[in-house]
Amino acid sequence: MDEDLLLIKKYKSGQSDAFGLLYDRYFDKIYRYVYYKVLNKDTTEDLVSDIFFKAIQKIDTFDQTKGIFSSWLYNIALNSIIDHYRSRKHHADIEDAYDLSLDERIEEKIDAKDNLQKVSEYLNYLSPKQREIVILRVWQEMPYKEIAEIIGGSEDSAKMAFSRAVKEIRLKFGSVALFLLFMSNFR
Amino acid sequence: MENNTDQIIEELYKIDPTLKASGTDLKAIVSLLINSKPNVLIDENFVRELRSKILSEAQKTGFNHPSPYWNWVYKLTPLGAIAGLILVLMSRTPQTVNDTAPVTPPQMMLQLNASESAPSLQAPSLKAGIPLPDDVAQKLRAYVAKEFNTKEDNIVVLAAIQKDWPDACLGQSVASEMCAEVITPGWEITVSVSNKEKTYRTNTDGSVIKPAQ
Repeated sequence: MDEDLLLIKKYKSGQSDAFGLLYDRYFDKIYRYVYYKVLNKDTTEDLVSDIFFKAIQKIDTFDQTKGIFSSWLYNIALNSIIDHYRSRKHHADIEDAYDLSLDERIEEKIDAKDNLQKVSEYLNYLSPKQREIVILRVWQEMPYKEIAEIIGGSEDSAKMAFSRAVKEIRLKFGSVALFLLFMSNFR
Repeated sequence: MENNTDQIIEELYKIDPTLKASGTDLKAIVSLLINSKPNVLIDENFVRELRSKILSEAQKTGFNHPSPYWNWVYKLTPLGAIAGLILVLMSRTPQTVNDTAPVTPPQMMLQLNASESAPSLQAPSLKAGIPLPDDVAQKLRAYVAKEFNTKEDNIVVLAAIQKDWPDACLGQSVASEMCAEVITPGWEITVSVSNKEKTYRTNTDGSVIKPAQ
């Protein structure tokens, strides 16, 4: 049996410490995922706390026939990020969850800020869905199948969206020389 | 990182073979995306504090219907915490060459100290970011299942702590056994099986497993 399912089974049978082991398995991934999207330590810590508390409260809604546990947990994370943006705006939609808004980054250190600015310059040319796929595939090294379970749609559509994202960046930034110049200035 | 770049590029070629025509650009783009990954610094105190809060919440939820055995475990955990504290204090006393106690790294000592005030089942069992590898858990489960003549599904890992053992026998040598005196990294793993808690020692990959005595 899958290790996650085994731990969930044990947790549901009354061994609450089994949830601690699930936490150990996913804390790092979820923390990084949230940070990549909000780019602020305090906001990330608030959201990660919220995500794991929600996971405990909603564990009975997890259905293994509909997907794997990690995708279920990432979906909670994504919804928590959406809620976070909604709470900061009167009008917000799912697109906000993908936005890398600059106002949350001002507390970061100067050198980190330069790096973040370059990241946003690059990613802002992409659609929100493409940005999500770049974060999950390139930064989280997640397989396409799992990405598809999180963002919805098929594995093939996730692959195509990533391919289009790379093409769009290439079209926007054009020549190899520009990329090499950009890279030499990077960091 | 180079491998990751190549892997992503290979995937892109499979998705869209026309991209092969712009291979150099593609490598620059993918490298750039990988390089632009933000640095993440995780506060270890936050990890521990949240874990403790999460476990408290887990105990309050509707799924927490412990068997009489677990009720006793929870009642006895404060005693376990005191015993743990005594063990930590004892481990700080000078050891003889033949001492079979594990060599506990300073970082682990901090973890043990941090857990002293909490019931033993709630103590941080794993260092954040270094969970017990699945294959080690699987090997241990198979070993314990055989020992107790039960199904592997009936065995749950309660806690796992990375440790350095004082010799190749994981500090559990018997009189007839020859043990290389080399520090052997591995795991101390506590499992629940047949309403009992049992602790085992393993090496890094779980190829050597010994019951803790």
